[in-house]
Amino acid sequence: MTAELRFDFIVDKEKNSIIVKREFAAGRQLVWDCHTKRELLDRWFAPKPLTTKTKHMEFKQGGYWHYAMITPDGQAFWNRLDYQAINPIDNYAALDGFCDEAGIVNPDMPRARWDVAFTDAKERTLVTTVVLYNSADDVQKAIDMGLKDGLASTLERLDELLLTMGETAEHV
Amino acid sequence: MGELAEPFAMALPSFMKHVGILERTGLIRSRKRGRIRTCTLEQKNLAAAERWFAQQRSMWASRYQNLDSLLESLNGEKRDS
Repeated sequence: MTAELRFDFIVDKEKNSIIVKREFAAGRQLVWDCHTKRELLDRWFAPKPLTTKTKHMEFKQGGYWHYAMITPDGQAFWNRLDYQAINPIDNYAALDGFCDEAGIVNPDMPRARWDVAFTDAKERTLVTTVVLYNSADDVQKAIDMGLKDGLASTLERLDELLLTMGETAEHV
Repeated sequence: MGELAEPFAMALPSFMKHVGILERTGLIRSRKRGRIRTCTLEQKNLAAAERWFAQQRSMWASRYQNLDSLLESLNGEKRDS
């Protein structure tokens, strides 16, 4: 097992944004592919114990990824990511959104812009994601509705799961 | 407000700006009576925000652990071929 992979999760209230930084023990091209190809995204994007199912993917400016995160009992949470700018294999910008199975975006939920950057970090790749909301009001809405969401309880159980997995990982 | 600002090494106008942000995000509430403005902590909103951010953090942590495994298996495939 190599040295620990960097993981930063920063909330910047003043800028209405969340910044996520994470290192991966792989080259930039492979990490980029995992973020941009449907068959690869389907293998990791949803947090455990959910799974990812892509309904539509067109990775180009003006295109979008329409996918569901599915709970073990079959409940689907539909999302879409509309691609606004793409610079392979450096960065891409997109607009997220909650939607239904048909891909219609829920207008009551705020949409955040994602700026995702890929940089070399020695043998590793650093991925920096900035999730930017339009206003403090939008952040508040995301909090209020996010906590009511059916996904909330699943995510809350995650913390415990991650701790257990962390312990397992140390024995590897 | 002056009392609240006292322990911080910044001018009152800057301090007021920070308080304004906290107020807009619903984490505190302030009320002016005469020349005195009093701040109260919105405990419920603060707790909700913390819970949501913790959930978001777990989500990213978990999906990235999945990605670690995927990258490892993809690198393995490359080595085997």
